[in-house]
Amino acid sequence: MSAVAIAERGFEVSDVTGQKVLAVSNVADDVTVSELIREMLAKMRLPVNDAAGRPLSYHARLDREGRHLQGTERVRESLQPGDRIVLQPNVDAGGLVA
Amino acid sequence: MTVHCAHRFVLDVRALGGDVLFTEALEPDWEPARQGARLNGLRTRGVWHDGDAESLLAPVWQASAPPFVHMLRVRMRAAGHEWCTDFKASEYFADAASAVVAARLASGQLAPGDRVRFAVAAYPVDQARPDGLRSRLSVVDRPQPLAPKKRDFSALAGRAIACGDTDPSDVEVVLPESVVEDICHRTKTAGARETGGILIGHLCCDEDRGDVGLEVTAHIPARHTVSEREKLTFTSDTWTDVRNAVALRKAGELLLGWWHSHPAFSWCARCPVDRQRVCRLATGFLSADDKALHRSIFPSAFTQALVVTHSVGGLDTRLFGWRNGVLKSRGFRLCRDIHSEPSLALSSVQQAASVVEAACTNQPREVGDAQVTASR
Repeated sequence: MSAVAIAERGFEVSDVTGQKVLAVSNVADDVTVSELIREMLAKMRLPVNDAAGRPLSYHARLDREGRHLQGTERVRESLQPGDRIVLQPNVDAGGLVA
Repeated sequence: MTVHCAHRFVLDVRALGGDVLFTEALEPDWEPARQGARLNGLRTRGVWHDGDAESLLAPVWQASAPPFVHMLRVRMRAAGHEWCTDFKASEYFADAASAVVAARLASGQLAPGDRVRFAVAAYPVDQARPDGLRSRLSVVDRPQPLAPKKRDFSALAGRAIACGDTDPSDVEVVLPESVVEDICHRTKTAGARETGGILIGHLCCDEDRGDVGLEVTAHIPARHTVSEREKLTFTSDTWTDVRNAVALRKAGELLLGWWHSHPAFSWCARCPVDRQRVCRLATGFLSADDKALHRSIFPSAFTQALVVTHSVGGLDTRLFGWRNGVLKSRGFRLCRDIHSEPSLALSSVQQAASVVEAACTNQPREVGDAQVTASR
């Protein structure tokens, strides 16, 4: 029931500031959270690497459940219609190289 | 949502004598240009360009030497308005050029101290992008409204002190002295470790001046970070905490930027004190990681980064923001709301008058328009 609803009604994905928001729907059965994150980063034009070229680690935070979604979870099984997840990176400041 | 650009861009690096050293294809990040053009639309036409509206980016050639690029021009159309915003190519690509030169230096193709010049050429291409997951899910942009608060910045300016490197093209930023004071205290308390936080407040509209400005109302100290001498990691839990704090305040504040400290006294502890005082690390700067963080979290053209440097000379507070698609040191107004004098905040800022004096007493120096020195 939930999986069908999520396919039809969808959910929202936001960046940290809440100024970039995407509405996602019609999600195929086998789309995982890590695939979703990868796709959303591209759509939001968020960087995938840090200044040294290392991959940035983004987490998908589901506030409704107060937890981070695991990359291997299937989107249709973990989300409910109307959910909002927030993409939050672990990101470094600092370093002496200008 | 994307900027449409039907050109590919190539970095051309030459010796100062003109010999071509190498060329390298670029994968430019157009987001700062797009965000700069959006802000330009808001400031000049009162229009906030949303994701569904059209935006095109095209090179403006050097008149005497196409295909080399002089400017990048972003054309936007929204709400019956159309406008163009230009970005100087030598500025916009400077960081990318520096990164390429650093890589060539690391591979031994350039020697430390080599000076090179760069230009960027553009060539038309057919755009064909991979589909990704397009067939497995549907994505629609949901533009977020941006409703600036009405605010009289002229009145605010009357009781505020102009600080830093002022540029008339920058959006006005007002920082309360009490906020900067708390940031300065936290910087001192953190000692040899970096610390930081998030600046929150409002985007405001001053109808008399016909422009927008930023009013910082508070900062949220960053928790759940990993703090070291030369590094501060903002974790996913940091952002959850910040979002919760903003929601609890119920004041409709935006995340306007961030701040962090540079414990230069610790970085430079092995050097003689006289040398520490003139070290470039003793004045505010954004490192490559700092710029990458700002680009990741704060791509909007009105967002700001505050750096408090703690050196043997005391505290130095500087603000950085987007200008022409590049992060630059910039001015701000310090709103006096502390009555004891002198405050740490006041003594940490460089007031605008002294900036002018410093500029006048400095020897003029010749800086090439698009030159890079190879250094690690």
